[in-house]
Amino acid sequence: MATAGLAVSDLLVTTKSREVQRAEAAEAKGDSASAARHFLAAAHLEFVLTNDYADAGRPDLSVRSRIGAASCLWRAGEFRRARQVLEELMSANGENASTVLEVLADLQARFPEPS
Amino acid sequence: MRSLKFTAALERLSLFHPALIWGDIAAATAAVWTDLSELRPLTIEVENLRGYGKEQVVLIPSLNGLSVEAIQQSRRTFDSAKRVELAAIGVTGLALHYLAKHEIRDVTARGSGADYLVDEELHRLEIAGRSRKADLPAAWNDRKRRLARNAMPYVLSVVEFETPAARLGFFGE
Repeated sequence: MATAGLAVSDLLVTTKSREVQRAEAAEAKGDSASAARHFLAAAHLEFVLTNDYADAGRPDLSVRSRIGAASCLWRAGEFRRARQVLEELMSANGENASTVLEVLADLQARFPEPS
Repeated sequence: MRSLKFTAALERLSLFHPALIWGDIAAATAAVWTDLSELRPLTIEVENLRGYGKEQVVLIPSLNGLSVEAIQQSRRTFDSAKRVELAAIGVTGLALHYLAKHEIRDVTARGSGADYLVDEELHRLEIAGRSRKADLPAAWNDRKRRLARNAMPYVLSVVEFETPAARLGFFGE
């Protein structure tokens, strides 16, 4: 069974979801090293899903996964890469700009970059 | 308005929504629910949820299968805001299942929060938890306004744990 046509693996989606949950739980428990590991795992799975959803004809979910990847990278401490992903998303389609700026402002407020 | 009652078995969340991990969520839901002066039923105003309609639903909490130690551990591990956030996810998971066997399939990070996808159609689900009754209407209206900017259908759930009560709705189709 697939989530959005044969191009998207249920197993991949479930693994990614659970990595996000593990990361958030570790983050809430103050275990930043574990949170970073799981957020990075989730980010890489989101990159795979970004393309799979696009291939499956779900551009909305492709954008969602890309925002998810950037959010995970940011929360793993990979600020520059996260910002780059969000900027690419805005460049590719201006319609995403307000959403991306909202996500970026939220990340900056809750998880500020070290100066 | 018709009112239906369900016994909400927290320990079964992992059977209702097998894609996700529910241990911390079930324990936090029990912790927040049992923080009330008594273990009160939770009333949900349902708006246009597919397979259900517009009704009022009452969830009667069942802590069977959850250990006291897991609930206490949740109180020690997560701060109160995080427990409320997790408890809102637990209540929403229960409500979606009991109302119309809806299943949460996916969770992703979105900024500092998370959003979810429901059922094979992968409708977006947003969940918010509040500790105070007075904060529910504002949280509901803010999220509805933001989610409506996107043309895609969505499910919205806001839970408050003072009464306790919730609103759950499906919009956009």
